[in-house]
Amino acid sequence: MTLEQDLIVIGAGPAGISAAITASQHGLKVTLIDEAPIAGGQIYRATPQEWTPNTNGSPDQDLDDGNSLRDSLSKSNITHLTNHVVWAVAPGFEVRAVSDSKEIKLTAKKLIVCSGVTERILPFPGWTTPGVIGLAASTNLLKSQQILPSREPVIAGSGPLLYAVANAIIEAGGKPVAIADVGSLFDWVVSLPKLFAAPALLIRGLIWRARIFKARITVLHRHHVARVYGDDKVESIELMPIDANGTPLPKKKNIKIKSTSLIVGHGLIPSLEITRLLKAKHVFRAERGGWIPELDAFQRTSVSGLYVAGDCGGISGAKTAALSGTIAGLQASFDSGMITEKIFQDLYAPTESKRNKAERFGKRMGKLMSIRSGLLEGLTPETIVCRCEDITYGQIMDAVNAGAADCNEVKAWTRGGMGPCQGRTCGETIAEIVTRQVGDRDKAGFFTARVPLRPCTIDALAPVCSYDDIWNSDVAKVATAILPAENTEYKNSKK
Amino acid sequence: MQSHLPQLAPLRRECKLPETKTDLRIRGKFQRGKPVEFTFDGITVNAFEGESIATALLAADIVSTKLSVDGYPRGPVCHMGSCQECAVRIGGRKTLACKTKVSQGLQVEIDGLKK
Ligand SMILES: Cc1cc2nc3c(=O)[nH]c(=O)nc-3n(C[C@H](O)[C@H](O)[C@H](O)COP(=O)(O)OP(=O)(O)OC[C@H]3O[C@@H](n4cnc5c(N)ncnc54)[C@H](O)[C@@H]3O)c2cc1C
Ligand code: FES
Repeated sequence: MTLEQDLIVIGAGPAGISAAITASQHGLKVTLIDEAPIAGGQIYRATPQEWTPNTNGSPDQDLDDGNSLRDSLSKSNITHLTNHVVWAVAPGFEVRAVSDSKEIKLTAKKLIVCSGVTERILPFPGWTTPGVIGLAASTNLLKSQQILPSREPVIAGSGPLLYAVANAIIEAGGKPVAIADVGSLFDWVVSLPKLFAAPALLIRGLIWRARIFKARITVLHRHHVARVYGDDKVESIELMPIDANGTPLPKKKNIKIKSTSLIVGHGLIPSLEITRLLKAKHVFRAERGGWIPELDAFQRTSVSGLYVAGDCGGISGAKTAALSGTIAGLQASFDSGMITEKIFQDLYAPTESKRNKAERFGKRMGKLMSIRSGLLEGLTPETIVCRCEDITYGQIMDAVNAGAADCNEVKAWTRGGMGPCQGRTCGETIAEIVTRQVGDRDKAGFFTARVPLRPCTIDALAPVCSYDDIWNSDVAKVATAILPAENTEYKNSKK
Repeated sequence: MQSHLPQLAPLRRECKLPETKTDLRIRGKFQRGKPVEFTFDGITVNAFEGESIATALLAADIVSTKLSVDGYPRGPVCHMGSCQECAVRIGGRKTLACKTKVSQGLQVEIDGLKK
């Protein structure tokens, strides 16, 4: 099935919803696609349809904000495809998505990518032990599944989510055993002036800290996980003091804590598979989450007709995401000739100033979550770096020492990053390891984006079963059109 | 199917729905869906409609849900469909436990072989 649209928006978080609503208000025919069953994105991830809210439940700001976004979405003319995973995108633009073993093809002249972020978890010995889960993952469990990741976890990593998760666990009746913050108290204090840009969020953060203090939970600043003990389940966690760069301080004492759960996260990474497939220009900005697409003040990328909004254009939080979405929607409407320059300017100016204000807070948060390269210095040769293929730090170092000069070479030599997660989990780590050798992240590069962007069953894509049928199917044509040079040999042999 | 996991003691336990302090489910804000029963590697697990398989397993204290390519135990990490560490098998097909909802009578098998 092919659907022709004026505009496709990928990702129904605050950015995508705002972009789609704005463009639709100005008369564009818009389709919004998301793999989730309900709109909202990560921060406003909804509870399942099968559940009903209790009227006497405690107030929840994120839930209310999410509901009001969903409400405006349902009142619009937007075609909202839920449960659809985008697995391929081609220039021009053609978007392919699968749901329940059915494939759909959409085309449009304009594309806004609002695919959000994934969590960065840097490895440490024992991090693959079952029971070690993500910090952002925990917010998801607490919000949308209404379940505690654990009653007495150790919480470690960086950024505001540390305290958000600890607070939510306390509120739900649990008690974290300890919080190990990679940042120092000083890092937080110097951030304060910038955080005044969003007083409501600042107050919320201070309330979290007060509650954590009142619950007498140990907060260890400048600490990182040294090792997790346990084979098929976490048994205890050793924390170690680190310096500002994350490098372990061996002269100071480590602390060993008994707990069956470790919640850990070292910031967020923009999801760039789609903008990479479309060959948009990217730049490296550690404080914005790492690699980000190069954007102008109107959310335009270097590719004509392609816009990016929200955290996947650089970490800045939900408020900025929504405002940048509105700007992208406005710009796409203007570029499609739906509004005059005057109307555009009148609507753009106030949104831009709000966005810039929200960004001051958001960028500071992004900075607190940016990667500290010293955190990888506690790795042992046996530590697994690529979880999908069980590739160790030792194997990666062997490749680097033997001359692998960028991420893709390490991938080709070791298989690290070649598994089903497409390097989303280990990409950052491998890039940092290579950077130590080659000098900077620009030289280290990044894993080439590949289709399918997410694993999908072959029968969903090609309900035909002989190899030739698959080869002649649309899927294969798209795949070979997008895949880089290494596949041309096979392509040519088929000609 | 024979289990490949003789060494994982926690998996062998019957899983009840505890209403006690050790229960991880947050009650109060929402009325969950209907209670359902499914099996994981032959063990009966109780859950509520709307929950993901990963959530139900977490609530049942089953954290080791997969074996990696080299046979090491693994469990869900990202709960958002990114890391692929929650892969399980349903009807022989690989599925993400964090992205698949539980349903009555579902037979979920562990993914991967012990080396
Ligand atoms: C797991 C997680 C939890 C988080 N929790 C919080 C929190 O509690 N508080 C907070 O302030 N911030 C949180 N964040 C940060 C969050 O990124 C921002 O606050 C905010 O959600 C950004 O909005 P966005 O619109 O840019 O992207 P998102 O809200 O992330 O929305 C992106 C959407 O794109 C969809 N998508 C991506 N790729 C595809 C694809 N290939 N096919 C189909 N759909 C796709 C995703 O399903 C998602 O719904 C969290 C981040 C993560 C990863
Ligand atoms: S837990 Fe990461 S994909 Fe399911």
